[in-house]
Amino acid sequence: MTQTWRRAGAAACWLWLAAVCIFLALKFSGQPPVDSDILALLPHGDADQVESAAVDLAGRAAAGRTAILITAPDGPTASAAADDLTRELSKDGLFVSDTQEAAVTSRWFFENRNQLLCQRDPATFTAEDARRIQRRALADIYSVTGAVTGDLLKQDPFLLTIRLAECLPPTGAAAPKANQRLVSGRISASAYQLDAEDEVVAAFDLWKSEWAPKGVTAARAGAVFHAHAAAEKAKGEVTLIGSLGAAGVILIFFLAFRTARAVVSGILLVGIGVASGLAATLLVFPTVHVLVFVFAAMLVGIVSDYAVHTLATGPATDWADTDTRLKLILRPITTSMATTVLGFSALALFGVALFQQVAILAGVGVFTAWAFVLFVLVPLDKRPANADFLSGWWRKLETLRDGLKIPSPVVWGASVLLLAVSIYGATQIRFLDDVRQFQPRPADLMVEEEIVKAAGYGGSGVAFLLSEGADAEQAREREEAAIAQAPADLRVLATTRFDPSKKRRVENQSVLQRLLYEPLLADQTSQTGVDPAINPASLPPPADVPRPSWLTELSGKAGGKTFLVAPVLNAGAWSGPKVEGVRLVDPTERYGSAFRTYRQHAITALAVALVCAGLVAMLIYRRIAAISILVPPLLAVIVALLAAPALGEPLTFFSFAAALVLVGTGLDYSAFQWEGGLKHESWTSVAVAITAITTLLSLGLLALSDMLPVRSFGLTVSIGIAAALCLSHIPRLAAMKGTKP
Amino acid sequence: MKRVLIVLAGALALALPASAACVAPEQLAALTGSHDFVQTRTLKGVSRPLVSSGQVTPQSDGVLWTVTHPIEIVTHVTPTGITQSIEGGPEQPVGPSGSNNPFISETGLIELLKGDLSKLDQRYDVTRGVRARPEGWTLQLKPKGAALAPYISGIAVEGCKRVESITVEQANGDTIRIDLKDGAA
Repeated sequence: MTQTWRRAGAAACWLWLAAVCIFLALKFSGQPPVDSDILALLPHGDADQVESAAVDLAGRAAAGRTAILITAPDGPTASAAADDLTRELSKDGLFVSDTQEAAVTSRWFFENRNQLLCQRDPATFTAEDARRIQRRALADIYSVTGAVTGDLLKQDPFLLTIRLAECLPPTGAAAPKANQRLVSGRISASAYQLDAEDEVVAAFDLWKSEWAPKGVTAARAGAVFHAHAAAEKAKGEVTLIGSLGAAGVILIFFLAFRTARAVVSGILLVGIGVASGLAATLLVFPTVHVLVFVFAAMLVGIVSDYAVHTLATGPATDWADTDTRLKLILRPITTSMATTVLGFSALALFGVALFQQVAILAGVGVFTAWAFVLFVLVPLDKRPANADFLSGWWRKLETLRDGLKIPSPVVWGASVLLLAVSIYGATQIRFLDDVRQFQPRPADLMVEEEIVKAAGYGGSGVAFLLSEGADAEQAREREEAAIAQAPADLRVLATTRFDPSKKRRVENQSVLQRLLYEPLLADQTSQTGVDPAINPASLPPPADVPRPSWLTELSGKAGGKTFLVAPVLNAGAWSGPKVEGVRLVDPTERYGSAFRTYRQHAITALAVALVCAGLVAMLIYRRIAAISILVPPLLAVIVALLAAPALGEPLTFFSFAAALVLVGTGLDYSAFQWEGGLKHESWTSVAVAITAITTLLSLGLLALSDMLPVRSFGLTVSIGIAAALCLSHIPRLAAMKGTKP
Repeated sequence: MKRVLIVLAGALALALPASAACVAPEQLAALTGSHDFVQTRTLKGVSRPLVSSGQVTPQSDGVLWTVTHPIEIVTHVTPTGITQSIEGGPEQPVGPSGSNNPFISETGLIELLKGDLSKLDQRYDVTRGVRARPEGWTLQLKPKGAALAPYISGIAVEGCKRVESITVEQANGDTIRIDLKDGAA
């Protein structure tokens, strides 16, 4: 590498770093581009566009539903507390209470009353139904509890508006006790947006601090509270794992190199790698998932490896010139970088946004660290004043490592143990693809949710009917046909019950005209004193009626089609309608199925990654023995995937994703050991041991996470790293064979 | 609480000269037995008042409100909800149940219909006045809670030895007046 190239490379590195710093400063100056949406964990790759969009839409609608059941010493206190809570939550427009939306919904019922029916099929509307409507209207007018007004009665003499409000919402009526009030509504932003979560929880906490002393308690239900708790947990884990990992790396660096400069170089390289990866991720994605920061801990391990290898060439060569030192690391570190980036790139192929973010973060982070090592770190790492002392210390480490001869019985014993663990693990293999079990839900929130449900809060359905069509009209007609086939007791929030197709509107209006208005209007107006000249049935709904926002949120467009989503609250054993273009979708089942498929695909991806790495190794080293570079990562992957079940942990998609990372890092050790073997050098053995320890310190801690995806990932990687380190002498021995020292 | 005490003290002072033969509202015994009522709903834009009549019967768990004219309606109002039977038909729930129904939870409807005025100040700002003819007292109630404000602007209660009439003024200008007789015919 010429000096000109080195200077150009260094300039490019500094320019990139400056751009990264400016970009991140701008990105983080406002609302943090971080979210904690569990949907980001879910794969969308194999589902069709309509279904993916529908799952997303239905998920967000369900996640936004929020309810708080207030219990007070008496009814009036409960009312006052409920009013105050609604006010607090709605202050910045983030929370829209059902009461607030009820006005728009009521207006919608009123304006559309002559084209809507409680019956799912207008053909089932009978003359007796019409008479029942009339009697109910008279009862509302003459009973003490009827909520009728003159304005309403003039335009809606049969009070259809009230009947529709009673029969169409499928959620059922909540039934809190006399000293309870239910505050329910929806979050207008994503319930998984950190600032939205913080705002809702802060408003709730403020309210609680004011009302708790008055004997008021509250039970919460809604994804926003779970998401907040999960985000808090993830933040705690990021802080703990990041801090412990960083502290471990600092300690190991200092013990190995005995200089503060080495520690600072290592930290800066890690920082530059993480910052670059984060900036690149934010260039592609508008936000990053909070779990990405947990996974970013692995970057600390990998990038610190490069720092160790590079800094080790200083004392190992007594700080020879830049060219000499670069020759020692250029090929292995480039091989390692290429294979690692390859391994991470395979993650991006899963169609999971979270892993695409991790792939970009790690890929760009590792590449940037590689570039800084070659163009900046080596040229800047000049011979220190106490070089003799440091070289002497390094030689001691090499002697120590060389003298570390593991007795043959121990090697055989360990091998037998690993084999036994692997065989036992193979008999205990258990796969887990159910997303509901991926993240532990806080017990207190689960209890509170049950309390809210016990008060009759219907919540929101997870499964939904998906009706798609070439246009909105076709989608509506298909949904209507599907609803007609559904069991009578099915509770479904279907768009067409509130906003039917044009054809259904005409049918509804016609049947109301024929069976209600024509035979009964004169009698009704004479009994109530309403001007008989008015024939409200002839009035079409005005075109500019504001549509309730919750209704608008049940439809979307994707792949050139229009689709409707109808949350089903009690799907039970119903398998869905037999109507073209309509299907019952259970997102959790589909996510589980998708994770299962991806897990199976991951095995192929592992094979592809190993084959690619083998080809890279053959291309660079041009020796058949170089294939031995694949042995440590391959065996490490097998041991890691079988040891986890032996420890009682299920295998998840994340275990296999971790195995892909393992291939990358395992190849890193193998490449350096192979290089060391070729040249009969000891420094690589020391460096590999140090890097493995630092990686274990950062990645091993992920295995302690409460979140199954992270724990699954951490456990596989840490077991695999330990195995890869132990087995990395295989390529070293293979390289030494046939070469002279 | 301070404001309630001041209002009650003022009300008591006002009541003294006019109520030699009347019972102070907060000391009224709750209604017992059946009482005839006439309900007059005056709705904006509707040419004539809508008048119904029947009997109100206080019960341990609520109130039985029976309309006999012009249509037979039996309404059972309890803290857990409202059920209604029309012209001998099956009893069916009406409106939201329990405290989710502001008509029950926010108005104190059951207490009002039973003639129990002792807890009014929990829900309303109470202003007490004197009724000259016939001799008696009046109570003007303004809802305290935000939940009722869009629907009810005020309630007027009149009486002497018992509650004699309740007039609900709705926010849109409609009114419902209930005249309670002393006993059933």
